[in-house]
Amino acid sequence: MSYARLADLGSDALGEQLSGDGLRLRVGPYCYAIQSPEAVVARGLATLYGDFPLVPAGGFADFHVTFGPTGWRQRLRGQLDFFLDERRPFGSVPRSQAYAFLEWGLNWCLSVTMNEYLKLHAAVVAKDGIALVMPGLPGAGKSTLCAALALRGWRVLSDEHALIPPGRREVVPVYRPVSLKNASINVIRGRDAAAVIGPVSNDTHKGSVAHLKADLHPDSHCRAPVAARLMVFPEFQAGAPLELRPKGRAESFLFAAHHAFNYSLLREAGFDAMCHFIDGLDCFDLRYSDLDAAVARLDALVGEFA
Amino acid sequence: MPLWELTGPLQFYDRSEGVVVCYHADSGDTHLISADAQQLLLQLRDGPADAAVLAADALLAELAAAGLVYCQ
Repeated sequence: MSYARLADLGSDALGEQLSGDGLRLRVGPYCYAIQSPEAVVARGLATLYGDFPLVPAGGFADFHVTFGPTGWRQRLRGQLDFFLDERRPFGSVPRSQAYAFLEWGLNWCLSVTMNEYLKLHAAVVAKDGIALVMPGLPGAGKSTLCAALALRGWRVLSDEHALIPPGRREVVPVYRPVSLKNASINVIRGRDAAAVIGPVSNDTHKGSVAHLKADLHPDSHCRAPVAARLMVFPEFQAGAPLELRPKGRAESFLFAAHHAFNYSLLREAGFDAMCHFIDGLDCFDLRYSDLDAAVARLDALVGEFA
Repeated sequence: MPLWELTGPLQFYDRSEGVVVCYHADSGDTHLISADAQQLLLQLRDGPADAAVLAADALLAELAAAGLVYCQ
């Protein structure tokens, strides 16, 4: 890799940038400038973002984020506030949950802005140059599957946002660490002793939350769009036998559109973008309980299309 | 006789799967409708029509509830 990475900074320099003008990280097509005096933020970023490209200090940033106590009351109570410029996506959060809320805040920045893309709420993974889009309701198991695929050599383009340029059948990579919740944390830890997992935030409104460093593929931080060929709707169901069955494009369209961040906002342009995108995909429902079996089936599926 | 007509311009995503995506431009709403419902809406796209001619009261009621058609 020829670019400067976060890991190239020593911990002192990382702390200085976070406390100063902001640590500037390249995330896909965007730059985040993150300011935070919190030790857990520095620790989490050092653990999970070590291979992310840095943008030179003082350079342009799409998102200026601050995360820390905003006054003496917050300091006394050990609470932090997340800001994107002057906007706050959520109220003050306890320091013990800081890292989960940082990641949610970074997601929010992209979810509510950047409408040059159709943005689906979906994980996106790729193998052999083919992107597979996985929309899913919360709890459907898309992040766990995404993490398991990453540990099996798949490239993760995103755990949260499928960025689709209108009129194209491609997805723009916007990789960040994969969010894991509750039992999934130990499931993924148990699959690979070398898996790098960041700070655990307990007792959040979603339970325990931690993140997997999933930029294990050599192209993880390449910015070129990847051709999309498959859409899979995963559903984890304890004890269920593995089942992968074709799903109609119209039904897939509706599900994906209803779980998009900006389909409604884009109006006719969103409808046109979805029509074009879905037309290039084969769509499937995937019900699974066994992660190994699901990963093997998706390996085979992508092999049929490569 | 009362006439049925569309509440606004519609676009369809139809890949002959028995169900069709229907986009209502004025509201920005997107619906999944049956192929029969699409045929009815295509008929109404040509102009208002009499309920007796359309002969699909239940379907018209469903489409009216979805905000896609109305009775003059």
